[in-house]
Amino acid sequence: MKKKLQETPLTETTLLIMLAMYSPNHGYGVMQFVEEKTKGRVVFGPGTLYGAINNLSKKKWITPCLYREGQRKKEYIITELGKKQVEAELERMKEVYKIGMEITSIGGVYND
Amino acid sequence: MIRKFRIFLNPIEGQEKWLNEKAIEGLKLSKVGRFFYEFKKCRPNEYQYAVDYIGNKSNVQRKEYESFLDDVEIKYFEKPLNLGQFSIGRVKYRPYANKGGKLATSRGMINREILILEKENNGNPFVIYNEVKDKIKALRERIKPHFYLLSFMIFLELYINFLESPIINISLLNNRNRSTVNNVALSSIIGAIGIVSMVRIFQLYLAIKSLKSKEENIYR
Repeated sequence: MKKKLQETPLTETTLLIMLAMYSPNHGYGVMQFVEEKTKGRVVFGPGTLYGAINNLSKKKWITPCLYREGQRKKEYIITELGKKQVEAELERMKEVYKIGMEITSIGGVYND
Repeated sequence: MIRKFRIFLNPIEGQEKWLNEKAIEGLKLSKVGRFFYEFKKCRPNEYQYAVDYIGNKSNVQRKEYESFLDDVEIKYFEKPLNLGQFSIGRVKYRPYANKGGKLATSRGMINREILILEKENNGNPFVIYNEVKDKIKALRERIKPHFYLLSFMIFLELYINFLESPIINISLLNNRNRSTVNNVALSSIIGAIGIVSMVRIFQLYLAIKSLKSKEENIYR
């Protein structure tokens, strides 16, 4: 049996923030990344993003980067623990996606 | 520069709506006082406003939040909210605040219970909390000061009406029947404040309830 390390499913907010932090990123960068990638479907409010970043930081899924010289905005990067969470969540989503594709009509041609 | 005087019965949603109406007319907020607002002319619809309640935050938490807002390029104005706080000299007691925010000293937290957020209008609505659970949490925080204010007003009513000793003398004109006139006047003022608080608690409660049913629909 695989050890369960995840509190799946992750919320969309959590997952998108962590994906935006695979390279060092600040709050503004995360907002832009998400808006761009989801084509404006998901727009983070500052209150929600602030709460989520603090929460992820507390869980050690992301960690603040050391300040570089001349840097003005606080940057974060995903941790190894965080990456494991993301991967486990993607595995879960893949499974659900596969089931969905087998069953529904849009997945008619889907064969693994 | 345009100066406007305004008091809001609903300092969060009411103020937010008003500021956005001004922004549509082409006015940009430049300075905020207790009751005064200063505007500068800008293009209509150039900016958007949202009002956030931060009265529950400690001084350190507020500063962290403000530096985050700087990072996401949102401008903010600090504004006071006078509600459910008890002050002695330069220290205010805010029983509803988080740990570390209960005693507010004038340097840090007093008169900084509300943040007016400003950003450039990019066509999307300006929401502070895009997740329902965060919105519910924020509304819960907003109920607390009303709850303490109401409890305090009930306590005062009981004190005045049952102990019959005037706390403050507000009837300066007469010297006969002093205590009765005093008590009736005080009693009604306190009652009015209490009723406003009760109405607001009820409104916030309804808002939370409707959000909760929305949340259930999402996760079911």
